[in-house]
This record gives sequence, structure tokens and C-alpha cells, in this order.
Amino acid sequence: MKNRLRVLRAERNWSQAELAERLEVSRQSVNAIETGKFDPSLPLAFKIARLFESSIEKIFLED
Amino acid sequence: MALLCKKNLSPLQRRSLAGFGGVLAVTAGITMAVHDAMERLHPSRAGIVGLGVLAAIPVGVLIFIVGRYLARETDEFVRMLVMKSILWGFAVTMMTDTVYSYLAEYAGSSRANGLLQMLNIDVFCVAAAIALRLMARRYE
Repeated sequence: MKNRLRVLRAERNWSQAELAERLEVSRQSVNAIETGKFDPSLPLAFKIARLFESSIEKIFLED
Repeated sequence: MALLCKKNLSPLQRRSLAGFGGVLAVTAGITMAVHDAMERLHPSRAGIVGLGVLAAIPVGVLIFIVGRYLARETDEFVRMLVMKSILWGFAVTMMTDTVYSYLAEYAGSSRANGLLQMLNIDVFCVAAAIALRLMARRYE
């Protein structure tokens, strides 16, 4: 699944480590999600959406 | 555990890794002591069963520590990596066992037959740790 996480993070000038800290996950998790190698669970997807004040479907896009 | 060798471990990962390392050392010690006792004391059948069970107890404790860690780990991605590494650990252990069993049965002495099985937990831990480290490196 594609996502706009890297773009959203860049807009806020956050590093992967900063985003990871805000989401309370490891930096590797952020990396894996950004590169599309790992699809987050629904609770984590909601957390990401809340953090970026957006909706899940605007951040995560179907292939 | 966790992302092995990673410096910024969470308190849960640090605690679990310390417990795991401690029990692994105890496992190695008990395995050697039991092996030594079997060789020197030549225990009865009941004694052999008792010593075998004694050697197996730390293995159960190790699995319990990993299970407790997985239940408490909040990072779902790390949890997935640990699960995958456990599968690799099982795969390598079983593959090693299979090859070794054929070698022991058809090309070696029957005395060495159970030796690798005694070290299964060590093979499993080393294989799982290497797998975890290699997988984690992909996301550095």
C-alpha cells in the first residue's frame, strides 16, 4: 500500500526519529511504513491520521 | 532481543534482553552440568528423566520470557520482526536437526545421536538472533 507519510513528514521538517517518537514506535517502523514494506494496523493508521490532522484514506492510498 | 545490538533499546527490550541472556547462560550451565552428571554418575532411568527435565526447565523459561516480551511490546513492526526471526530460528533448528540426524544415523556414531538435540535451544537462539539482526538492518 502506498502512502504520503514521507511527504507529510517533510512538510513538518520532522526526522523519522521525531515522527517515531510522536507515534511511540521505533524509527525502523516509520522507515518500513514510509517505504511501503509494512502496512500499519488500523489503530496505528488512526494514530498517524490524528497526528497529521488528516484522514486515513488521504494518507494511505490503494495500489 | 528486539533489534539486537541496537543502542536505543526501550526499557522493556532492555529488561527482556537481560532476562533472556541470564537464562541462556543458566541453560548452558545446566546443560553442561547435566551432561557431566550423566557421564560420571550413570544415573538410573528415573534419574535420567529427572536430569532431562531439569535441563529442559530453562528452555521453558526462555520461551516464557520471549512470550511475555511479545505480549508487552507495543511496537507492532518490531513484534512482526521478532515473530519472523522466531520462525527462522525454528527453521534453522529443524533443518540442522534433520541433517545431523541423517549424519548420526548413517555416517557417524550413535553416541553422538542426541548431542545436537541437547543444544537445540542454543541453535535456535543464535539463528533467531542473526535473523533478527539481518532483518532489522534492512530498515536502518
